[in-house]
Amino acid sequence: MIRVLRRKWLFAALVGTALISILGLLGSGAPEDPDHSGPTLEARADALRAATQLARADRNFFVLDPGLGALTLYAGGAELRVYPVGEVRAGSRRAITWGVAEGADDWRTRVWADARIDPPIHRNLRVIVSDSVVAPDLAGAEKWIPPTPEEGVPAPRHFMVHFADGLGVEFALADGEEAPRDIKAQLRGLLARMLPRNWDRHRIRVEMTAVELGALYRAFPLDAAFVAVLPKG
Amino acid sequence: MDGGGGAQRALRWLGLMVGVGVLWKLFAGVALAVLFGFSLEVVPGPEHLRVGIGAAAPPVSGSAASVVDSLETVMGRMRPRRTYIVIDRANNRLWLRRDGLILREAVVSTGSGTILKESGGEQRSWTFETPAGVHKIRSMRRDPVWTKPDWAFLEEGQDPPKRLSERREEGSLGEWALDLGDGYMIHGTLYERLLGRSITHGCIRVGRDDLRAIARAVSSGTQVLIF
Repeated sequence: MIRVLRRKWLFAALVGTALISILGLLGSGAPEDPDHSGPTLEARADALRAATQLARADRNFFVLDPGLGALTLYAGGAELRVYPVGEVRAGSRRAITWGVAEGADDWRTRVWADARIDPPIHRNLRVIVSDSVVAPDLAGAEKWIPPTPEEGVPAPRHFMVHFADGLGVEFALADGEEAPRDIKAQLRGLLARMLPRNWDRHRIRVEMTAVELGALYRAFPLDAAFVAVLPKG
Repeated sequence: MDGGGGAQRALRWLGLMVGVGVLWKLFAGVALAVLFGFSLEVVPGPEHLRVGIGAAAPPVSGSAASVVDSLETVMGRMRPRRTYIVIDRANNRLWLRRDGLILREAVVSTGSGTILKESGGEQRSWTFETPAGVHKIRSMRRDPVWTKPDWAFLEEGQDPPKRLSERREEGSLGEWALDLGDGYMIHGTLYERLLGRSITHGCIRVGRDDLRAIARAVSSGTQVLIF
């Protein structure tokens, strides 16, 4: 009797799980824009409004504009660097978007700050104590040759920037871009995503070339705010 | 006979339980991913651009368009009016920029991040980093002579001399030194093969040809933005 009940319970659990999965797939947010219409002027106006305020406040900030295929870093009103980007995807957790009324898209137009990068960059500090230094090299040659930035901090396959209040921006290699696989880093990334502090509510995924991805990863200023030109869904 | 049958039944049960367990985990994993994963949509890229800023965009009308236009004008006004220098410390790159254009890109060397500690005397400490932020060129010197600070001697295992004349060194800063204040400069180098590496004491070393081009394009007061 107990065996039969146990089997029935297991069967019911399996069917239940399957139903939830199917329901989830059916309700997985709005479908892709079939005609790929460009970013709306409202989205652009919102982003520009935020950018002008940040520029007036002499802040460092990024503007991600998929329509222009660019992630631009500013210091006040001055453009510092433009990182070309490929495909950009954006969305929220399904559990959040289900049954939520209009207005839930506010996150697309807001300014994000307090960034945290994952994996963090660890730089080895070199300490010299004046006594321990040997006699000067009269030939004038440098005694210590550090690695190049690319050797010291190689381009990762992808990295995450988590902003306070729940936005995670994933920067990843574009399709067809080659980079060495690092199983340890991949496992670490998988585990990091499970940590509650990395449970972002919203996510933007940005594809880049390996060169740009590495340059951005090494130089990402964590004090910079972030604004994106994202049309409301 | 009975014993063998019992073992078979137990094995069958074990197999069933393992199978159900694996299936359950698979379903649960899919369910969790579906429930709590992200629903990501493609944001239209440049190839799908219908409206927007940039010369290639078709003309648009309406109030939203005029808002975008006026905001772009406001952003444009906040741009530096003159040529400015941007330095990326992490990638050892320098750009000479004006009106949204890159006039020149150079591979440079920036601060190593090394810490020098004085073991005796005043037990001072120096961190050799290029300072981030907004700076200005305070003065420009042609064929500069470097007055070596204390750390330059301590680093070499020497005591700093008291006489100023013993601190002066010609040629090591290249043809130009653009003074940013607090002892930081953009200058030339004897070690061009090391450009691209973070090896300096905080100054920005530039190759000879790039330094000449930069010196021609800038003047006192030029903004230097370091990130």
